[in-house]
Amino acid sequence: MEQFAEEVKAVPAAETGGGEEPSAPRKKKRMLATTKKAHIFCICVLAFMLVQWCIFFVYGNMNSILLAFQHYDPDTDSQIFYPAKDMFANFGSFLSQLFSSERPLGRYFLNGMVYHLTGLVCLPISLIFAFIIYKKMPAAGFMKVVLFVPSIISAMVIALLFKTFVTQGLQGFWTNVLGKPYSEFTSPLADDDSVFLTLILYQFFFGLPGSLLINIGSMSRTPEELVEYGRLEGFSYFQEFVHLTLPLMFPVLQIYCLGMFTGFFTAQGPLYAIYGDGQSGTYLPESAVSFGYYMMVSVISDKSISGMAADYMYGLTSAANLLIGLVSIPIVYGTKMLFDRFDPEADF
Amino acid sequence: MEEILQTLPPQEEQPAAPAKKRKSGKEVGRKILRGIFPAVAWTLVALWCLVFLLLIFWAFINSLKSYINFYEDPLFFPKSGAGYGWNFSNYEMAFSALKILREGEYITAPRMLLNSLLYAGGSGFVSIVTACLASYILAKYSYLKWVRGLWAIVLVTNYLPISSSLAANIKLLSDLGMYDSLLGVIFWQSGAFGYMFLIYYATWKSVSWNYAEAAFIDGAGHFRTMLLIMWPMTRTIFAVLFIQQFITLWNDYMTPIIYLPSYPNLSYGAYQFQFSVADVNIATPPIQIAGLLMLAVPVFVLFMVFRNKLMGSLTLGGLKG
Repeated sequence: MEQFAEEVKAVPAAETGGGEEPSAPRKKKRMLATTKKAHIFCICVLAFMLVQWCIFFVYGNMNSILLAFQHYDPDTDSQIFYPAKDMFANFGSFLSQLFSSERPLGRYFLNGMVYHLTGLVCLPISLIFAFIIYKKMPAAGFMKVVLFVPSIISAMVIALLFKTFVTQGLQGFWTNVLGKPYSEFTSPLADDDSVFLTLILYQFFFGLPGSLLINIGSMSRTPEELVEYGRLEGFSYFQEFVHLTLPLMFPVLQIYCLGMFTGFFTAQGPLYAIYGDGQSGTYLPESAVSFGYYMMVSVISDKSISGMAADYMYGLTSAANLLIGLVSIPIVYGTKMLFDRFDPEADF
Repeated sequence: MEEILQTLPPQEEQPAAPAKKRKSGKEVGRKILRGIFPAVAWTLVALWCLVFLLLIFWAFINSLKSYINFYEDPLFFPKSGAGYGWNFSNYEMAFSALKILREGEYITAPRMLLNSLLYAGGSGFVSIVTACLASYILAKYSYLKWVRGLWAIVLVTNYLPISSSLAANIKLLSDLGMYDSLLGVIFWQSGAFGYMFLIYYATWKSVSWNYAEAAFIDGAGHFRTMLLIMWPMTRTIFAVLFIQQFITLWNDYMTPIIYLPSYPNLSYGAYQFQFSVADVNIATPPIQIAGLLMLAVPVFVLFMVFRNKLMGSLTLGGLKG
């Protein structure tokens, strides 16, 4: 028991590096005993997670990289490596499609970026939304619940309700209220000219609440004394928002922006929820297709938008994924450095 | 004239008058700005809420219409008369019509409900347990060198914008025999080092190690200390994260579509419902809308029951206890 008590004393000492300094040899003996138990405990607890991580993160990523250098062989029904001279065939194919004016991949790429940038436009407005709730303005409690509902209801449910409204609801408005002929109505979601703007509006509208809870939580950590001080100095709500709330939220904003740049090139938009894989009787205008959607549907759905069986697309999409990841690294770290440079270093 | 001049303030004070005037103009402007920002912002939020509630209300009244009524008038309340009226039976029809044909066998709504519960409950629980345990070790045993090293790796991998491609994931799960296996997908999703890990890590950091020290002195081992002393202090957070994860997975339709085609959940079923052309009398927009709203009800009820806990607890730096 005595030995155990001594071991226990050694744990915090080891952790904090403080405590009463015993003589060197005795300390070493006790440290070894406790750390051995701690090592065993930590390994036992983490074993499952580490195995899982090694399989799905380490091996999964390696597998993904290897797949970028492979192609489908119908004879063996498996993915096989290209010969050494064609090693980068998938990369070449992806880049030539991306920059070819005859292929639509470049446009898909730009579409995806616009879908994603909509989120960036929503960000400042979502912060203002959260500020209104945080300042407990009239009906803030009710509005908080309403703003949060899209986060708990499936995005698919919201997307399909929107689709039904824009298709059938507007059709009713067209014929019943405006009195125009049924045959002249085209749903904005099926019209090549208006579909992209309609989807951007959808993204924008449902992106406005943003990460409401995180924003309110971060804002509510602003020290009350600071807000009081600002009030005594004659701060308006706008000044409080700009000079107190935003600087104190800087680390959160940094995380948001880093997250946004991570998915910059692979954003899908709400296409899959609204149109499915584009094969089941739904018409997806090409002007709305995003690169992320193209990549996903090519892999999960045979002879879909790519016109090829899914197996044939594994190599190409893996190569694209790898290239995008490599391009994203400097962007993400550059953004982080930029944020660090302009960090107001405000602290809670 | 001289008398009048004498009554005026001294020369150097004279510029004060126009300055004062400018200041008052500024004050008025500031007052307007002071009022404009909250008024405009509040109006924007109120408008958003109104439009969103109108969409939900529109969906609700249309979910109760007959097929003919919906096509004649998809905007306003159901009409009265034969073939019209409030069709509450749409919800019942939606539940019974919610089925997916898979390898010659119909998977019906009750089975999808079971799949939803198993997937959302199982995967949600396992992933929060792994996040809780891993974050405990990394937060509280950082005096061990390899644990510190692991923490550095976790940080780097969380910031790296590289992830395995969808194709590689499908291939990997197929190679491991985990594709289209509920247990396999739960194992795949039980990764400990993601978003929940970071939140739980911040939580463990805020829990004092003194409690553990006291437990060690009383004779408890590492495992018992973690389970009986430390974990109960984070029970609320555990529950909040579990509910959040449950809601996310309940709504998830992409994972079952891609990785679990034989285990469709309710989200998958409702998603497929829109493309269902098996029976045009059943797959009508009012019944489809009823199906979608029905799907949202369980999570909405769950949210309303736990809304104070869910909405009052989360911050990016961690969770309040």
